[in-house]
Amino acid sequence: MLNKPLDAFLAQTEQRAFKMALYATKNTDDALDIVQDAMMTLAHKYADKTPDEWGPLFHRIIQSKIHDFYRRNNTRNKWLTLWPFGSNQHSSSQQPLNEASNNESESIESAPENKNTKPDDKLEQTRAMEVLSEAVSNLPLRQQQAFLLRTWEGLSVAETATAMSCSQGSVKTHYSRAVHSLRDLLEDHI
Amino acid sequence: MTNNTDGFEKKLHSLSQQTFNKETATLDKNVLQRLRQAREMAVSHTVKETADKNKKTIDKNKKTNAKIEIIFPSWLSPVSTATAFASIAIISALLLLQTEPRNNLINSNPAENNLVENSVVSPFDDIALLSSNDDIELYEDIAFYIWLDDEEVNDKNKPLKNTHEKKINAG
Repeated sequence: MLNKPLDAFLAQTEQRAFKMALYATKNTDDALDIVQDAMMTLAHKYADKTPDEWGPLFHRIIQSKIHDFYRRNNTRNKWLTLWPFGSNQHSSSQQPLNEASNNESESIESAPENKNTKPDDKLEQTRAMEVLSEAVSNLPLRQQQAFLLRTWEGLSVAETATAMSCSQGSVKTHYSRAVHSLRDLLEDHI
Repeated sequence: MTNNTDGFEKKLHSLSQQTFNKETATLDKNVLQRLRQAREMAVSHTVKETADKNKKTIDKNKKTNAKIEIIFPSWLSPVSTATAFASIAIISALLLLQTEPRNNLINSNPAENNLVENSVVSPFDDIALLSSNDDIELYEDIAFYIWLDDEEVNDKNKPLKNTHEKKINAG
């Protein structure tokens, strides 16, 4: 009776979706909320679609939820700046990625080691990963999402454009700018 | 320059893949648990929704059938069909019978009476009469007009007797 294909699809995608949302929101709870909402929307509206169609749809929903999150935060921040007692509060999108960074550091440290690599190389690669992770999280939202969808999810320009609800030209521009920004930060490490 | 760019992009791509895969592979247990819960909720929501939809459809069909049963009970169907056929048969028989001459019409004038007796009136004539735009009085005195028409025909056939009548006719 359980919708097994949908369950399998979500199990396969949920972690990457969470990580993308975490990059965008910089807050674990907000990222989890976004992924949960996206899952519910997919299950509620598109459960009858074929599994091939779920991928692009799910990415599109995630992007839409991230946009909604940013819009809500912008509105809330506008009101908070007018409120004298609320100006010291940090919005979740502005919070540093302390928790996530700590987890990442731990996870990178506890990751299985490749015995063939030299300790210096390994250290350098670990450092490069940290820098990349931080650099990606600091990219502007559209550049960040274009980069993640193209590099990580392996979507084509057309698929990325569909997921981001923009033209293919915009995707190319965002991706190019993202790579350019990352080059400046990572040139010494790569 | 292009080769350098391609080389950098390839390295960046590779490093990104490694970084992101490592990050997702080593997610916090609490996060993984919450993701699993969210997934289960979403999937169970789909199952529940499908079950609810099916149940609603079945209930709706049942209600519709019940309403139809109230308006048209199932036992009435053969009775109503038989009644309809019988009605059609009776109306057809009546129409056929009424095409016979109407002998029951009695008029004070024997000549008119004779005309009415000899005329054959079908029910379709009545329909034509009702649907036409002619004055109804014309049909009430139809016997008189038939007689008048016959008289005119007879007068035309008779030879003229004197010059006075000729003048009148010429005038």
